[in-house]
Amino acid sequence: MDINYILNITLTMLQGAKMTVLVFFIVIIASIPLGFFVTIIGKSRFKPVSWLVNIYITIMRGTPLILQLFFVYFALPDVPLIGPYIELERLQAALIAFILNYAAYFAEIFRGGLMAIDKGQYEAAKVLGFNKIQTFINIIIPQMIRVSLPALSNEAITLVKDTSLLYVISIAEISYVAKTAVSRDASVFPFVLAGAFYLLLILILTLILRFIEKKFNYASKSL
Amino acid sequence: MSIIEVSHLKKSFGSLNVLKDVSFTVEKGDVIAILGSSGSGKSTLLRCLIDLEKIDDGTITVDGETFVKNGVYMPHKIVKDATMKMGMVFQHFNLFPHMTVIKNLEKPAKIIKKMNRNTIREKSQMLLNKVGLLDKADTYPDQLSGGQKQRVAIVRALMMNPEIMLFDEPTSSLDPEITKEVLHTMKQLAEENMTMLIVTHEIGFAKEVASKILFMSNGEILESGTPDEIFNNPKSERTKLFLNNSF
Repeated sequence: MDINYILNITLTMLQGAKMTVLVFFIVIIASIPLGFFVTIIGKSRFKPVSWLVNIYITIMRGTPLILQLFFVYFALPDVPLIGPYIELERLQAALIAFILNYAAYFAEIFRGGLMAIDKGQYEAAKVLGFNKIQTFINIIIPQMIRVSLPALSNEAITLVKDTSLLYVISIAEISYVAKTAVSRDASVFPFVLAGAFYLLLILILTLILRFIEKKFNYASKSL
Repeated sequence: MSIIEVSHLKKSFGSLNVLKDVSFTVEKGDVIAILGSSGSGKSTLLRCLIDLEKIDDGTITVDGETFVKNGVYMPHKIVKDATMKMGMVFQHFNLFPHMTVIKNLEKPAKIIKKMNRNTIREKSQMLLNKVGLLDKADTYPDQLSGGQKQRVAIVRALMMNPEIMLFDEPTSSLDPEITKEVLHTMKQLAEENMTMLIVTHEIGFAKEVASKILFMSNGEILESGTPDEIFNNPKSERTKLFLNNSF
């Protein structure tokens, strides 16, 4: 294995890493607000809405992401009525599946975060004169984020690795590049390199998440 | 005119009648200690006054404003106007953990009262100074002792310029040593003629500071009167028993 080969494969894999990072960011940026929105409407007193939210979360968490990916990419165009109007590029399909899936997990995390907030916080806010919206924005959300962050971080790290599923619909991310190279060159080196890439990405992400957690860690001395 | 008038207040949780036909009045400047064993309805009574619990029947008037009449609540704005005349201090402080001490004081004043920055800052510093916590302005609640937290909670309520202060077992989660500092702050307030309703187990404090005692048992006010009347001359057997057990 000469140095040129290593350099070459690293460069190709960098292209793959670009795709991985792109998918990661789009999914994170879209699914966190969507998840939060799902949490909010899940609290709706209008029963059909909270049922729908429950069904959505159950399906998303109860079936493998890879199946959801297949469904959006292969099966959705065959669904009667709406199917014919759907023409999804591979990447679009992948993003839709990932965003829907991750939003469900984030919704559950936020729900847990809300439940962790003492009811005394709502009462204190009320007797001080905060209305419901003011309470939510000023008192509840900041605490909810703080409580949810460790679990959110975990999901974010999982997401980096989950992007390797995109391999199954031939999107050229890290794993796809690695597999192609392994088949072509009859060497397992690309697999090792791919592992190193994931490790590096997650290392960077972990550092960023630590920094964010620190920012929100108002109660650093206890809790 | 009395600053608080409560008549025929009834409240139940399911089949449990927590308050059965409670009536009493509070005059401006009164310091009222509400005594009674656990489950007698003391805390629920305070919570009803400030609309943390909805009552089933009865009338509550605060500073001339009737916000619930014969169990029917007035429009939201009237309820809010009436309850905003009161500040409340909780057993578990309920400070906002994500805000520093000074933010805890200033944020509500800024958002609700829309006072200007300088007025707010002056007032928050004056109040913190009064309770000896000016040096803690920039710390977070979790870094304070229980007594410090409760004093912050008291001045946070005072920031909103209440006419009346409600204390729901303010020292029940504090150890005796620390209880003193909180009681000291409350005594200061009483000396400034703040109208106060205090649900407490601190009999000694009630005796010393209260102008009037309400003794509750089983969802009713069994006895009310000056500390002298209640402590030295209790009328009911139940009150006697409670006081005997408390000393």
